[in-house]
Amino acid sequence: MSLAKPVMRGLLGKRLRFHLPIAFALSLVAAIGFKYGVTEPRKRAYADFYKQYDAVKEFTAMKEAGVFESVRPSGE
Amino acid sequence: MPSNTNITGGAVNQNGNIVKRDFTACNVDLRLSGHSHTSFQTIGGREQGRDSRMLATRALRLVGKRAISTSVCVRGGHGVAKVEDYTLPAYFDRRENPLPDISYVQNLSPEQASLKEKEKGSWAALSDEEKIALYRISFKQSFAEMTQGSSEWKSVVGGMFFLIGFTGLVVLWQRKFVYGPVPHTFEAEYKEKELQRVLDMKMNPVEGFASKWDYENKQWKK
Repeated sequence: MSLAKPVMRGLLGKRLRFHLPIAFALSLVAAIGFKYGVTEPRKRAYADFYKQYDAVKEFTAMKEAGVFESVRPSGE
Repeated sequence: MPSNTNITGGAVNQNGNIVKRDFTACNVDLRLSGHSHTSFQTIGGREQGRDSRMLATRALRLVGKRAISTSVCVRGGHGVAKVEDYTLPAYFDRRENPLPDISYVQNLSPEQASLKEKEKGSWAALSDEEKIALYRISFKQSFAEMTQGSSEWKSVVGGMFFLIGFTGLVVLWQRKFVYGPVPHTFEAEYKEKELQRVLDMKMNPVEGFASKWDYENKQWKK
């Protein structure tokens, strides 16, 4: 019947020593993954879009399509 | 040390039975000898205020006896209500509360009583079976027994799926028999005009909707 005495102390410390590095590592990986998977492509997409953007041409196209209320298409 | 306390300071009545310290406000001194055949014991008023230390170790836990006054105590012209069962300390096996307020076995059989007497002596003299018997007097389930899992989760998950499925049937019935027609904005013709307007406005041209439309060729981008 002589069982070994179970571990009575240091249980929280042991758990933290195991889980905290994993938690920090995973959070870091998640952050880095999001930055280079989402935000950097998004920034590049916006930059590329506005490199070749002609505001007047876009406005004229929208005006002719008739979406504005202040300025109607040239036909009317 | 007063003669009617044991070595751990718990109150001991005239018979030598160990009782748990109690705070009934009754001053009537009901002797144990008159009630030894019932499972309810009361503690006389003079046990009140006895300075006893309760050692918080499992092996030394005293067998507590429920203290219910079996008659109304009259003091100063007032009556004291009968103590209800649910207001007394209860026993329950919980991992977060390892030492319940009372022992599991309240009414000791003669062997158990003599074992409790033996417990007062040197513990090295106790055999393994006796130690286990003492443990089982104080506790119903060991930690291993109380924390073991069950298969209840299967019924729970099964019940969840079944009820979700039933809810789906209810929703279908509702759509057919309860709700009226959808607004005119859902008609196909209207939706076409809506889509044309969205593309004319160039909504979300960078990464969103209008970015998927090829304005030169008037078609969706491949």
